[in-house]
Amino acid sequence: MASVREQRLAETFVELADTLVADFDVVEFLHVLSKRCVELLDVEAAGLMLADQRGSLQVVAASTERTRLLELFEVQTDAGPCVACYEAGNAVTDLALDPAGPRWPRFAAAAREAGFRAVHALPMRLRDDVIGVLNLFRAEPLALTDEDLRVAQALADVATIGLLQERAIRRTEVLAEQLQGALNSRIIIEQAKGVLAERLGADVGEAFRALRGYARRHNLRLAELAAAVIAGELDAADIRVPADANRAGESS
Amino acid sequence: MTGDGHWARVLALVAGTAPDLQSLCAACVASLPTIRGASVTVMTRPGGGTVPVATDAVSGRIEELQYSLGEGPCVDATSGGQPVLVADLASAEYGVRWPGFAAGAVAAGAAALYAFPLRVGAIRLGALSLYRAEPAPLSQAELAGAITFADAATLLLLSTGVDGTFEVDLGRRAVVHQATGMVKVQLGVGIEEAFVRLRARAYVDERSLEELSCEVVERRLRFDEMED
Repeated sequence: MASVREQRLAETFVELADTLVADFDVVEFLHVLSKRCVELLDVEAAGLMLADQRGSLQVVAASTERTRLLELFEVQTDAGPCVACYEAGNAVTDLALDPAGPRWPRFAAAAREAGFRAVHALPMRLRDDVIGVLNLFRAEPLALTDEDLRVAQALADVATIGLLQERAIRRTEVLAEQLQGALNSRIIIEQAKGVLAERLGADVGEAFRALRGYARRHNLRLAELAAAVIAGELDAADIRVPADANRAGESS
Repeated sequence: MTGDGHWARVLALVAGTAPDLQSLCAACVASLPTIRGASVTVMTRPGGGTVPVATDAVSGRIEELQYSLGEGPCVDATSGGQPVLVADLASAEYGVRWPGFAAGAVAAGAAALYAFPLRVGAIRLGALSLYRAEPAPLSQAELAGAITFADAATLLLLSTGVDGTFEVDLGRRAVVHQATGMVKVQLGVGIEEAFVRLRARAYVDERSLEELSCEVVERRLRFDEMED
């Protein structure tokens, strides 16, 4: 069985490395990486948060675009394992998620309500800096195995590399430019989700799947497509997910 | 670490300088000692027209060069949606990137130039530009300071309609941006106006922007059925 998993791991890293060509889509890359975390690790949900240089962490990608899950990340901008991980620069694990606990009662309550019982937060490190956090949620109150944690940290490191787009960044300016750009792309995508949801009479989760499916079929960057949707350059009906393609789009 | 400190500083700046971008630029130069001058290019504005604002002649020249040549860090920051931070404008790569602008700006007295987009997702308002007479990168603290001023300028530009809407920040939750997109379609207006209308409604109704946005996204509230 281990060999199947190892093969799947190798394929994932090759897939992610293949994506890292010039002019690639960083938001799509991080979205795929979040999905692969759920497939490869024993977790139910995964998400990536980036430091916004305003003193907060912001969601940039999640394994599913369920509103409930996005809100769970957002609740942590106040207090939660992600913030603790970011500030300490170390992995943080919470297997209790105790709403009456002293550390992050609001987050713990929200996580439990969403059906999670354990959380891991792993730092996205660049030399001495932490630029973001990989967040993993489990339905069981159990820690990941050491092997899973090593794989998770490797995926967090790949996310960092992808985000920075350059193998050897010498200037902190480039880091600031990339982080701000990625976070703004995420806002454009949220705005486009709203535009599409209203035009299609769909919910925002469906709107995201439609947007992402269209971007993949037409080889467009998500943020560029989102900008075109907001500008009204595309007919919303053309972006709608065909009924039978819905499940395929969700699984890839 | 909540980021609330950042927004408290932004709001204090806006309250202290509103509605005047010129005062904001002056405050920026005063609070960042190594920065010689600041300017703001406004690309579009809810009230129409463009208002170039600069604290000194060099900053004015930087704006003028970019406007006439159609190239430079502010142009790239505005179109790309991310900061463009140039520690040494005289280095060869910028001569290639902006052949007319780089030489002109150096001749005018700018050695380092940092441009920050004024934007919220697809809402692109312009750019804040800071320059130094000596080449140097921005420190982490200066970078955080500059972003505070860029957020304050963005807030100022989006708050022209209703007094007091500054009290609401630019929206840190996804639902606010989703609601903006929905309101845009409901009202048949631009994304920028949709955001202004959403924030104005939150202010008038004395409700939080997030709460109002949730109602829009959950389809419990429509803007096209409101009597304004």
